[in-house]
Amino acid sequence: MAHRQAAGTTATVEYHRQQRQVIMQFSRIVLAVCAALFTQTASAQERALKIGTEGAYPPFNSVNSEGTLIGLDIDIGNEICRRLEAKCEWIAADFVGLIPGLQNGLYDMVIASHSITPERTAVVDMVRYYSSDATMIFAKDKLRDDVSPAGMAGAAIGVQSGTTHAAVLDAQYGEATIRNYPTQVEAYADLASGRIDAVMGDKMALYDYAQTEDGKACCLLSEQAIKDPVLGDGVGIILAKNSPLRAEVEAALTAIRDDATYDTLTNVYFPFPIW
Amino acid sequence: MGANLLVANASALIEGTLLTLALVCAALPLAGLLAVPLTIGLGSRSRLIRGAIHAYLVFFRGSPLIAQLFLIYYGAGQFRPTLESIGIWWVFRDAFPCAVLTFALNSAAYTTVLVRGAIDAVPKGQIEAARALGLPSGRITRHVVVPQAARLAFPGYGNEVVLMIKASALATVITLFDLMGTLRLIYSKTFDLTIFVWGALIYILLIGTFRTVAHLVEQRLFCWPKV
Repeated sequence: MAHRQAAGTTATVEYHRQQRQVIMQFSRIVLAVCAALFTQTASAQERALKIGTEGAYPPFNSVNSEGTLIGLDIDIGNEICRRLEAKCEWIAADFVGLIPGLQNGLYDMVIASHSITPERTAVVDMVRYYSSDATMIFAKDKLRDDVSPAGMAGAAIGVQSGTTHAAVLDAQYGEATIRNYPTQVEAYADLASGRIDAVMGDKMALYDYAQTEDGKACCLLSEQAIKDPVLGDGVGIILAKNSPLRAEVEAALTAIRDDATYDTLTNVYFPFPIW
Repeated sequence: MGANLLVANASALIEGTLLTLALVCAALPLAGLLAVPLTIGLGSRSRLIRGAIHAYLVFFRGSPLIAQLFLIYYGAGQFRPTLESIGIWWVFRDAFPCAVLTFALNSAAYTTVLVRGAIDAVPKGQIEAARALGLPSGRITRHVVVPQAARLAFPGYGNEVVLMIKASALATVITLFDLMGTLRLIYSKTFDLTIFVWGALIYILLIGTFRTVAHLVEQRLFCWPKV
């Protein structure tokens, strides 16, 4: 206190009155905060789903100039979240770190165009959302008719490391030189600059690249398809083993296909069916 | 799991380690060669030369090595016609020379600063005394400055070599299958994290061996008492 008050009843009463005021004010603030929090949690009925993706695999997942994730994987993922009444939270990460991230609980699901293979389904669950073929895209002056291991002998083939395509090249294409890139986009860069003759990948991703300015200028897509059990059967959304989300995601996908939303979403990118 | 993983992938791991060693053994001498004119230039009286070298040092010490790798490798790809017309495309066509060049340029920047610091740290009194004794400038450099500067720079240079061995892991991003690249490949096939433990042990073994050898060399080579 700045000044002395005579000790006595008046001072004590005054002191206690001030104390009560402070406590009342404090309680009002606490109540207000609690009320605000309570109303907030009450209105947040949606659950949040964390979805991992790569962001370097156009047209399925890529990052636009503003830094937002775009692509068919994102469109389908957002539609699934809508059907599940959940809020999608997209996280972009390195491709080879996606499955380990899911296993460690960093993501609820991963939608990054992973092929469904026995090695993967042994550790995670996968729900098919489109099919794909594998093929190669060639530099214009290096086009070959035969994309089999014998036909590609002596060629330099680029591929994204960690993919099923890389596994096939590693196992079968011993006569060719294989170059592994961290992302698909870097493989295209080297194809355009002439360091490699061809890039192996998913027909649809390669088709998308062949439609771009750079793709049209430098390269030609092969008509041949490459078949191999290592390539897996279809492309899937990845969920943790025995996750309760699996049934929900499958139901959501069935609903999306039944009411033709699936066709609407995919037609934006591809003029042909991809299921 | 465990030793099985190591044995099953032994040949791939050995190849990866050899490529790591090849990268380091090619980049370090090149860096040393580049550092000599740069160090001499830093002591030059011409402001232009000093300024140019400082710009080089600021760029290569100030930017991340991974960015430098990307810039040189993919950047060269964009400028292929220009490089071909000068006749040096062959350096940039393959990933290995690109990686060696980038590591060498980066390491030369650090080595230059290190050696320059060591040369400047030789006590000036000794140089004055040598001049007073009538020793010509070349002899002063060879017998007074260089041995003492070398002793001062040696531990720092040892660090530089260790950093280079670890930095070589970045070569994975430009398609080279050094030890790190091999580890990632094995992991993507097996989903078994223990391969990274084995990889770390191999790196520790490489670096530990180098450190031991460097220590022995230092003891034998610089055995005169410190002034």
